[in-house]
Amino acid sequence: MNSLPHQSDPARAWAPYEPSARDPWDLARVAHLHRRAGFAADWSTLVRDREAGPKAAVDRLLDGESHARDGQTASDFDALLAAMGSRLAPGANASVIQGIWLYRMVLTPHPLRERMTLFWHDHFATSLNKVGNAALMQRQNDLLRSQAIGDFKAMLAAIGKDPAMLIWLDSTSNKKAKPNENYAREVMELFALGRGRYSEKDIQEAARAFTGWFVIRDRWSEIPSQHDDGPKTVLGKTGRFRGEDIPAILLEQEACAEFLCEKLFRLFVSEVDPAPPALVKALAKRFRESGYAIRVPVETILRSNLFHDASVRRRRVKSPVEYAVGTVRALEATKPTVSAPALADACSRMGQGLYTPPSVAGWDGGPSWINTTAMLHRTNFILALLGKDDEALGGRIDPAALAERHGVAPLEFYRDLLVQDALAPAALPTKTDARELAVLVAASPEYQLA
Amino acid sequence: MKPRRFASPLAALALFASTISPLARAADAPLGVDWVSNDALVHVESARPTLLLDRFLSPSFQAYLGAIPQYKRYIESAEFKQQSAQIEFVATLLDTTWERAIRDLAGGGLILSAEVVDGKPAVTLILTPSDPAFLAKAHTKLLDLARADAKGKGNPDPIKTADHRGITGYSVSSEEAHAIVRDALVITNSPKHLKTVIDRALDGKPGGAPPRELTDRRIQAKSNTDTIAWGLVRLEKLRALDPKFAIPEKIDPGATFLFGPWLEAARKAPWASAAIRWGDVAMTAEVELPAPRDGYSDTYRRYLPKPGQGAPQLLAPKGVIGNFSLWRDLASIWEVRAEIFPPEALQGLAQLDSFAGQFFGGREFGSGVLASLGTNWRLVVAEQDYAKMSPVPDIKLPAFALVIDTAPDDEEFAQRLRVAFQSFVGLANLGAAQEKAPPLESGSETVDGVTILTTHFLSPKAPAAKPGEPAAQPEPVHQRHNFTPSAMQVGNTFVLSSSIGLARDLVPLLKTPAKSMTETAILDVDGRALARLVEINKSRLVMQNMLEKGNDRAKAESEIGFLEAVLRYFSHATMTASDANESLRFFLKVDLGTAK
Repeated sequence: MNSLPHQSDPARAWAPYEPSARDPWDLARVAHLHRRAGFAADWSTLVRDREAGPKAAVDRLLDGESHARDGQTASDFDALLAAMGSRLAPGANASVIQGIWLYRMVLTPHPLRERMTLFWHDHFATSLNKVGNAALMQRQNDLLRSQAIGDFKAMLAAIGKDPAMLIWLDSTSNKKAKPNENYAREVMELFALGRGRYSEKDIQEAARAFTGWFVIRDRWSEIPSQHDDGPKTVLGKTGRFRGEDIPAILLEQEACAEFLCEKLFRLFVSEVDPAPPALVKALAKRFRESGYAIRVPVETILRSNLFHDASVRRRRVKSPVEYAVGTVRALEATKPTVSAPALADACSRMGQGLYTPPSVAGWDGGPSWINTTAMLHRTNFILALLGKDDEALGGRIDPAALAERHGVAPLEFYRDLLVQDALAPAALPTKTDARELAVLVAASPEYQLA
Repeated sequence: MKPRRFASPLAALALFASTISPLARAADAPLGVDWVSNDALVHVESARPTLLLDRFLSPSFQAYLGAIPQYKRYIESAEFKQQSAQIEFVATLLDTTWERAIRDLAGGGLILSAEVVDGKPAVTLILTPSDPAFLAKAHTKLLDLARADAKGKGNPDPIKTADHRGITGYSVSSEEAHAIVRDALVITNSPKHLKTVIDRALDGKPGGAPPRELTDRRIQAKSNTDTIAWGLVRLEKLRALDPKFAIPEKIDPGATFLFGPWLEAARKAPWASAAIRWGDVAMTAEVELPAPRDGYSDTYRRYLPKPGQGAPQLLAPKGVIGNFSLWRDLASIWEVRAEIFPPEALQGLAQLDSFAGQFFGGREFGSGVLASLGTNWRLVVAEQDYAKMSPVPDIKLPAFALVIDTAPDDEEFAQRLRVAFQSFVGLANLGAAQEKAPPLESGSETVDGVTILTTHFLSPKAPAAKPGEPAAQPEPVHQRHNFTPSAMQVGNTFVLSSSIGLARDLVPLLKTPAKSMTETAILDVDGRALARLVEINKSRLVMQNMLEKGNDRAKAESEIGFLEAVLRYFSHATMTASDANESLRFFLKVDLGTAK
């Protein structure tokens, strides 16, 4: 059953939220914003954004902060991470490339950009296990980040020539005599339209447009002699299409923006309630009219009445990466931060190995993140992070000192920082030490939800 | 070594008086050597403890410390300044400086002893001052301070006193008791033990003359003016006291294979001694264990070089970073493998036997392969000329070579080794094809009449830029391009090298047969060369540090800088192990340089 408010009133749902006595801009709303649009915020950020109001808080998420968590300016931090990524050898193992990304997520001045990069990594799911080249995976990741809240048109066009994607989809050789339908199928089904919004003939014709595209020595190349230059009909349009023409044809379909907005709805609003068609259509219209500027639907959602309605809180299960990175950031384990390869291993054990999604459809997400084994690994992660024995993850946080530094009693501090109104004060023991309290809250069922 | 300075003529006189004390004690042993048991569990002695202070305060060591960012930060920290202020306060009260106070208090020597009395530890620390008057003054002043502090806080007198045979003992807790005995400060861990020490000082201790293992070590220490301290541990007593100190008969097969007789000696030796020396240009440490009383078993005797034999001399090719040289008769050890290794390891060795047969023309591994390899084993690690590499790998690794002597009359075996090398290259290429990695291309070249079998990985090719498009950004070159695996036979020596450059450099060095050293094993490392390796890979190491330890860039650079400084300071290190009939000796020598 769908319990969402404003289901049939898109104008009201997507109208900017204005704080009121009934719906005040309080800590619960600020924390909700950061949980969904980033990886959870630390105490100072929550307090600052509560004081600044919703507009300034969303502006900061959209534009990024001026400094990374390690104290570097945002541009210096980006340059450092670019250098790390560019020096990845093709044969680097998974924990190295995963570690670089997680290090970036933990310290990033732009959590929404990383959150969206993770979203696109799931959308354009590609696995290092098959690609076998960390440098190519890093290049794809850089592409996704460059357009994470940018231009979907540019991203869709570029992903079609991305060597990692083409290796992943066995599309490294697309000859005129035998068009390879893999990429044409996935771009329609998974990347742009969704199932049932195209025909088998559309795939075959689009595949002909992509003929002549190859990956040679890990680079996209075009061999004109292998291109089928004949006329093709794709989604009702006819012409001597080349591969570069296909994204535009897909983007002209109303279904494209709706397909993507439905996914954004699941990301930011609720993965439990089906996305109401009226709300999706209204959002998709703005997306299309913007020329597929991703920032438009994202900003619309983050500023909206619907997003800030108390009923949509905790309608998603945190993925292992959201859970782990969010906890590290919220608990200020940033100087020094945790070992990135160890964090990568912890995420993998919880079920989300970055760069190794299980299939072309990405991770199942939702309730599948939570099972007995995953919960055990989540609890073990919290115990390691808040303990002193694990050299790679622990020993960086003093829960009592952290609460004291912010001038808040431990019980209130860890409840308000991590779960806010989701846990009644009576649910937590009053006489226990700060470390135990932090563990109890971070391992609670409520904290597993975003 | 700096000349010893005395706080005052009186102190010099006191030290002289203590040296010619009528109490029977070994020449140049610190005062109090007869107040501790001859068979203490642990005995540590330093006739010149202030030498440690001299070395620590020497300009070269201070310059080294100054180059360590962590040390500089500590020196500039509020915590250090507070500690310094407290020390300076006490020193001012005593009309001295902290450095002078240490010299005056401990300049005459130090003895630390741990005995076991009635199953409980009895610890004694004896500090002989170079200025006994200063000791008396400092002791009185510190007691007064403690009493005044307690009084100010409304607490009772924290110092308990008791007289024993005319000597006053003091105690601040049930686990501490001390007294000034014959001008020396004696600190023990119980009042009861303090009385025992006082009795020994007044009556002479029972047990007669010290045993040879103590007197020999004392004489050795005296003969070297750089000796900071030496000590002796009674392993027999330690093993009896706590079984966890006993090395089990069956341990990790790898450790048994590598360190067999040394573990046997540690298992059976009644004692072990150690000495530390710190000179102007080098620091040394020496550990000695007596050989088992009934000799080594037949199994472990096979590890020991015969008279006149030993590890082959070290090789010093251009840019050498490290050298390991070992005498080991693997063919002989292979015969007794069933006595050394557990069944699961033996199963692995059986597979090795069968696998080796395929590569060496059906030869039996022990009698056909190991017996033809001889007893001289060397591993050489050296810098490469990275500027001349093409392509230049992003991570720059050193080259290494395994140098093995082969039986002089077995030319067929030498040929088999070369063929085995080619077979491995073929296997590696099959694996590379499956992994989409570049293959190794084989070749050969002749250097000074020696044929070197060479290989190199095919270079990665960047795609040509299309007209009007910028050239693609070059990717980092894989670390595999550090390797150009090569093999050669020089006389009776077979060399398997990771790099053609190192193989070429070894040719002239191997033309002359290697001399045998007196040691069984020698490990030699050049810290400066290692520091250069750190330097050229610095940016990568910094990034690795950031990712693996979670440090920010400044902290990561500081840690890598520290590593570099340490390697430069400990400019050269040599570690040896010598097996003689009567004892086993490990010797470590570290040459000191500068941190920059």
